[in-house]
This record gives sequence, structure tokens and C-alpha cells, in this order.
Amino acid sequence: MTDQDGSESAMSRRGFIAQSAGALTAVAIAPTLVRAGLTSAEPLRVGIAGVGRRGRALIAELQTFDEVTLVAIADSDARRLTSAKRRAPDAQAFESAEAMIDSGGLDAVFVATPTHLHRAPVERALSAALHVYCEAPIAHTREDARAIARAARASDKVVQAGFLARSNPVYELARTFYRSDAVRDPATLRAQHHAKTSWRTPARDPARDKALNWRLDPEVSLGLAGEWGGHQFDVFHWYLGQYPERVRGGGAVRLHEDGRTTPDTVWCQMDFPGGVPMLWDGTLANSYGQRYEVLHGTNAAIKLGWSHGWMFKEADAPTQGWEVYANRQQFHRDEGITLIADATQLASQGKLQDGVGLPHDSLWYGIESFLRAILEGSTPSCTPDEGFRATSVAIAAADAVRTGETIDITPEMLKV
Amino acid sequence: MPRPSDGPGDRTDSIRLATAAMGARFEMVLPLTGWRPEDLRAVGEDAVALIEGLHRRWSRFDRASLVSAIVRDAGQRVRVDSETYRLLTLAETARERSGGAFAAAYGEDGRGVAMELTPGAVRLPQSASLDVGGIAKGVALDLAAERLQDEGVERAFLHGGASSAAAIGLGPGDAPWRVRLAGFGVDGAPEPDVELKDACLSVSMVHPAERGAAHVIDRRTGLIGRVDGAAACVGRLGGAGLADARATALAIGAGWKDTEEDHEIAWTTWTVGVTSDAAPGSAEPARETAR
Repeated sequence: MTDQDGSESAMSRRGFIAQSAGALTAVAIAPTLVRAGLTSAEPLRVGIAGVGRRGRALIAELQTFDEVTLVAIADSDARRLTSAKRRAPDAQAFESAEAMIDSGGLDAVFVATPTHLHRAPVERALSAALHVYCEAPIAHTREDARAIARAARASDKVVQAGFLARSNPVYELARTFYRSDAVRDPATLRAQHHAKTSWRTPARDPARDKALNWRLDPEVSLGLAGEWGGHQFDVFHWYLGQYPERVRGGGAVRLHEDGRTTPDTVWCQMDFPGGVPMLWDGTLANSYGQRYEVLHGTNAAIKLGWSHGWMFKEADAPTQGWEVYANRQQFHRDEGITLIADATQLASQGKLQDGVGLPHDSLWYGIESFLRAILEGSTPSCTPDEGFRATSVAIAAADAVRTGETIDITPEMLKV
Repeated sequence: MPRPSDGPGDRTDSIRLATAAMGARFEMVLPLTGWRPEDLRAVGEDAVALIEGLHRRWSRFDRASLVSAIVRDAGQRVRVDSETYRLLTLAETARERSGGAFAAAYGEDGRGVAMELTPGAVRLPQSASLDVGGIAKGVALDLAAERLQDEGVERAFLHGGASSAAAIGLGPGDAPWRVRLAGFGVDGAPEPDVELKDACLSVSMVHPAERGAAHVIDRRTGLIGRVDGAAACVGRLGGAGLADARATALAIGAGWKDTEEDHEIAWTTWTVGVTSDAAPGSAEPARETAR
């Protein structure tokens, strides 16, 4: 077993099982959605670099935190800035991330600029001794991603990459099951992200179109495999504690024949160590199934759908004591056990159904992890090193789709 | 191979988009006048994404929504985003102007209660619930229309559940958007057509089949309002949220205290079969259903 993630290598899977098997019932209880409140004497003063759709989502979530005051927003597009200013009227508006950072008065910056424009504001923010939350993938090239990770290493400030599965309580809970004996040996991995949308950003004049529709620009975009798939590949990295050894892929324009060359429908196949295959597809032509990941093990399969998770047990898998509490859901001919944090406590109150789903958007948990790291010194849910490795895999997947060739993911590619 | 602009929802002269949100089907028609189809579709998708995001924040049936969090933490101050703050502020405005007939927050007896709003935060009274369904579609349309206008859209028609609508500019044939008020014909007269240009519309009525499980509850009593008829309000663009509340209040026979803002909105209202002012509500307790 090749384990290229240093944070995972200290504990082998069998060792983990040995430590946790005797307390499996507790595993169902331990991860909790009711987290202790953050402690902050003064609200953190934060700014957002880039207020497109993602930046606007950040505004909405940040406004729900007592520990934060959104004091600045920045975007080079005047219309976006005006629109965002309406949502954050007390925030000072800047025409560039650099101007916002240089103006001072910030404790932290959320970088939500286009992926290929992450590096400059991250480096500038770290130079200004600010904490940084960087959207994922953290860059469009390995060179930029490595530079970001190295700048983060050289800084004593908190840097978190926005791979959100790692801060999602449903995913944390499911991972405890996966890392126990409940799923057993992985057989196959599968994921998809389907959404019927053009993936365009409104922009009428050519200059704005070039700047805002960077996702459709093959010069700078990692395409669906990098921008969407990268988040889902990282689920498998995190669960398995391993990175894929090679990736194949392909794609085509199936629906949006509007002059784009970036495929609107793509697929990737990855080989994880031990020959475990991962199949992923993404499309902008159909929304069925939306977004999920499935890990098929020899005892059970786990399906993860961001706000919800389920475990589908094999008939010959051993029964666990906690299963008497389980909430179950039928999917055609399969019965899934709903993965619920605080399940035992809720069951004792007769409120098990209340625990289905998350009480917040997954972005909220990513922000919470970042704030907790700043205020309480905890490790951010996705460190810059992990963000670099996940981004490096996303870049390899994008290369495979673009070239149609098999890309080997070498240890060098995963080294910061 | 089909193209997005040739999809089943599109015509050659317009982009049509739809989504399911807030228990209703939202649709928008965007005439192509001067736009490339792909650009206009992107603008519309942005507005659709906004509506879907608001749905996730405002649904009381979704555990992850902000409304659910406010109810869970009733009695405590809860920080909210600016759009939710706008929604809740409007709900309080509507509660005051309707004399309490409309209220988003209500106690265990179903009667409306006041929310404590401070900039960027809300506190719901202990044990109170929150249902913004009466105005959420309208506010979502107001915000979506703003989003479209931010990107330079000068003509569009949006509706949510065929009961709330917003019209930007002129419609086909350079004429105002025309909407028929179904069910508003009186004594055999034809149902009236409303012409909308930079205007909003809200209709509140209860289909006979829905009586007893109605969504129109008189929050003065906590009982289903006596809804024998219907009300419709047309006003200036940007007032769809307020129109929702006003139509609800009028449909159950409650009054509405006009203010300077109402005069600026320039309301036109229709009521049909509303039989009493300040109706006490039916004797049947309100039963709420997921809609």
C-alpha cells in the first residue's frame, strides 16, 4: 500500500481498525453537529477577493457568523462589485485584491478569484501577514499550486484550501465508518457531477467575456474534471489515505455548441494503489443524479451526497449493535442506512429523523473550520499541502481529458 | 444535435428557464432583443441560481436552511445574510401594515408574533416558528429581477408558482406583458387582463379543493382566514414581496395601512368574493401542509 499523504501514514488501516473496533457504537455517536461556539474577543475583519457567484455565496455565509465582520470586497468587474456591494453595504469596495490587501485593516482574506488568479492575492495576503482561505482547486498549474503551498509553509498564518468534503460533518462521520471494518476492502470507487447549465457567466462585451468566462478558456481552465472533479477526487484521497497512480480521460461538447472548445461532458478513470479503479463523469447536459461519490467495499457501500450520506450493507456483512437505532431509506431495491451524526442521542429522544441532513450548507463548515483554526489554533480541515496534492491530481485529470492520453501521477507531482 | 437555445423550453425569440423552488415552479422568459442566446442564457441561469440559493436558505422543510436555524435557536439572536434580513424586515413591515393578519413569525397558538430585528440579525421569541412562505416567492422575484437588471436585461417576465410575477420592460410586440387574472371574473364578466411593464403582481386565492389545508392563515387568530374569494395586487417593480403580503391580507378581508412607500408603489388591487373586513377566521384550526 502506497500512502503518499503524510498525515495519514502514521496509522495503517489495520491499526485504525484495531483501535476502534471495540468502540464501534461510539463511532456512531462521536462526530457531532452541535459544535462548541467559537471564541473571539473581537470579530475578525475579513475581505473577499472575487465576488462572482462563489464570492456571493461566501458573503451570504460569512454574514451568519458572529465572529466575522466583512469589511472589504474586491473585484475587477464593476458590475459584480456593484451587485456584491448591495449584499454587503458596509464593506468597502476595491477594484483589485491587491488594493484591498494593501489598504490594511484586515485579519483574513477569502480568495475566490478565478482559479488561475489565486496565486498573486494569496502570496500578497501572506506577505501582509493575513490568514488566507483559498478556493479550490488552489491553482491551474502545478507551479502556482506549489508556490501557494510553499508560501503557506513559510508563513505562520492559517491557510486553508477550499476542498469542502474534509470539513463536512456527514463526510467526517462516513469516513469513520469507512476507516472501521464496516466497509472493508475497497473494490471500486465512483462519482459524478451532473448539472444542466451553460457554465457561462453573464458578459456581453468581448473583454468581459474573456475575463469572466475563464472556465471555458482552455488556456487557463482545468475544465469540469479539474474544477468539479477535483473536489470529488479529494474525497477518495481523504478516505483511502492514498492518491491515484494514473488517470485517463476524455470529453466532448454534447449540448452547448456555442463556440466553446472546453468539453461540456467529460469522464475520468483513475487507478488507485492496489488496482482500485475510480470512475468519474461530469456533464453540463443533464442533471440526473446531480453530485455524489460512492465507495464500494466488500462489506458495504457508502454513498455521499454532500448534505446526506448512506451505507448499503451486504447481506453477509456482520451486524453492528448500533444498527438497531438506524434510520433507513429505500432506493429502488436497495435499503440504505442513513448516516446521522448524534444518531444514538437522537434515537433516544425519538428524533432520529430530525438528524437527516446537515443544519448548514457545506461552505459554512469550511468557513467554520478556517475560523476555528485562526481563533483556537486547530488544524484547518484542508491544509495547504493537502490542497496542493488534491490540486495536482485535478490538474492531471484535466490534462488527461484535454490530451486523451494516460497521465502517470508520479510522487514528484505530489511533492510540495 | 440540440442546442441550449433550441431546447424544449426555448423559442427562437426568447430564452426560457425554469426551476423548482419554494414549493413552486419558477419560470422566466427573456426576449433575445439584442442579446446573443448564450449570453442571455447565462444571465438567466445566474438569476435561477440566485432563486435556488434563496430556496435553500428560506425553506422551513430543509434542515440546512437559515430559517430552520432561526427556529431552532428561537429566543437567541441569529446572524443572517443581507437577503434574509431584507426578507424578514419586509415580513415585519407587512405584519404592521396588515394589522397582524399577515405574520411570518407565530407562536404555538398560531397567532403572529413580532420578531426582534437588529442590523444583520434576528431573534425569534422563545418557542415561536417562522414561515416565510407568504412572501418568499415575491422577494425572490424582486432579487432575481434586480440581478437581471444588474446585467443589463431590459425585458423579462418572471413568475413563481403563477401567483407572484415580475415584469421588466416591455414584452412581445413592444407591448406590456399581459397576464390574465383567472378566477377574477365577476357575474359572468370576462376575467380581467393586467398589463405589466416594470411592475409586479401577486395573487392570493384558495382553490376550493384546498380549503381546510390552506396556506392563507389569519395570524390575528391563528386560524384559517375566511377566504371566499381572492385578491390581486399590481405595483411597481421591486414590490413583489410586499405584493404577496398585501394580497394575502386582502384575500382574508383584513385591511392594509398604506404608507408613503405604498403610494410610491402605486398599487392597483382587485378583490373577488372577499366578504368581510377583519374576518375572525373560520372555526377550523389551521393545518399547514408542505407546499
